Amino acid sequence: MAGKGALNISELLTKKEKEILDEWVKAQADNLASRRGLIPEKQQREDSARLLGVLVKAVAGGNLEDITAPEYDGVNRFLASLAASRANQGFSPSETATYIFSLKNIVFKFLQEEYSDRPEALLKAAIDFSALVDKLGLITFETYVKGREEVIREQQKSMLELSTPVIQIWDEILVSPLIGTIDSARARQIMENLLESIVATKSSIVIMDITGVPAVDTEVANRLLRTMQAAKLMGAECILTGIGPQISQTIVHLGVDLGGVITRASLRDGLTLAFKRLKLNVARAEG
Amino acid sequence: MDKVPILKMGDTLILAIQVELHDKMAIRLQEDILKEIHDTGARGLVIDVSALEVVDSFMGRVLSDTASMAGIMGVETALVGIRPEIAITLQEMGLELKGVHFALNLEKGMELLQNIGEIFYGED
Repeated sequence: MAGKGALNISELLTKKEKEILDEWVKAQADNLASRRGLIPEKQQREDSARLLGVLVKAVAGGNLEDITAPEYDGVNRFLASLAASRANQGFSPSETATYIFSLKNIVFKFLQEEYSDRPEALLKAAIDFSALVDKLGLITFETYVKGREEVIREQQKSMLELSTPVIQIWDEILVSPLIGTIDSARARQIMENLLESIVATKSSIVIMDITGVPAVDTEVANRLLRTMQAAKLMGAECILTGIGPQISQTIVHLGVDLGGVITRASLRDGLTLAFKRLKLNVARAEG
Repeated sequence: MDKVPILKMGDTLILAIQVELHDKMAIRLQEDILKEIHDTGARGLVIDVSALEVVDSFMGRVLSDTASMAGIMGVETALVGIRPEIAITLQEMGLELKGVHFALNLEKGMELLQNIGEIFYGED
């Protein structure tokens, strides 16, 4: 690895660290992002100084290719935190990456000044360094994407929690209004919520309302049935309500076996049935 | 403790399984229950499993068999106190517990058997 080109660069970077930093910061001052005032110049300079510092340390051993090597730990860590803080400050990922890439031009300039007499070594050094900086720029991109994924996961989780409520609407009667598509993760969540609620409220009747479920296929029906079977094991009777004409047609056409589950067209009918089962009488007060 | 006590309350036998049963204990328990049914002329059997944290396929099988045996002798069985996680496991194992009634707790199980008894035998 310690070919001529690689040696050139690490030597040059160490020797000219100060000058490179000055040039780089100056170049950034003309940059669009700093013009927008998203980041104070002082911080920009600090970031650049630190990045250059860790980079100089990393390339000191002559390794310009493998950025997973231990000497690049500092660089990787700093880039990750830089990408995260820039994202928070409102930079787009390409702006952050461009910032990293802009180091190339500066270093090329210095390389050229230093080694203008050795064009071959210069070319190799330029290519090597360019590849390295590209990789570093991509790290910021990856960090950015990872951050985004994290946010999406969090949102998905909270959506999952919000979308599976279990409500006790009367003594011993639970209602679980289902809205949206039911995939296996949600089915699992529904089942767990429901069973916990049965224990907590000592309920003996569970009404599952699928008015808000757009489509019921064999898979969804199976998931609902499994939930109801589990509820039955805990001594709760299940009523499936909110079955509109469309859904009832699909169920029959698909040949889904609802296996003796009590079904009603509307939540209202289901509730009436539940009252009947519990021998409750709902009547208008006299007088 | 390798014997599960069987209590009698009115027409109903009550037993609470508190430890995981191994083969011998399970068979002994089945024999005890059936003998008790024969001796007392009970019409209901309530098995409380609320103390069990794990129900494997063997245990499920034992409970199912016991209920079937009791059923042949004219006894309605209620399995009570199944925990949510166990309900999920049983359901995932696809274990069918035929001829068994389920209730949330002992109290509700007794009530359930009472109601069934009234339907089948009339009040006496």
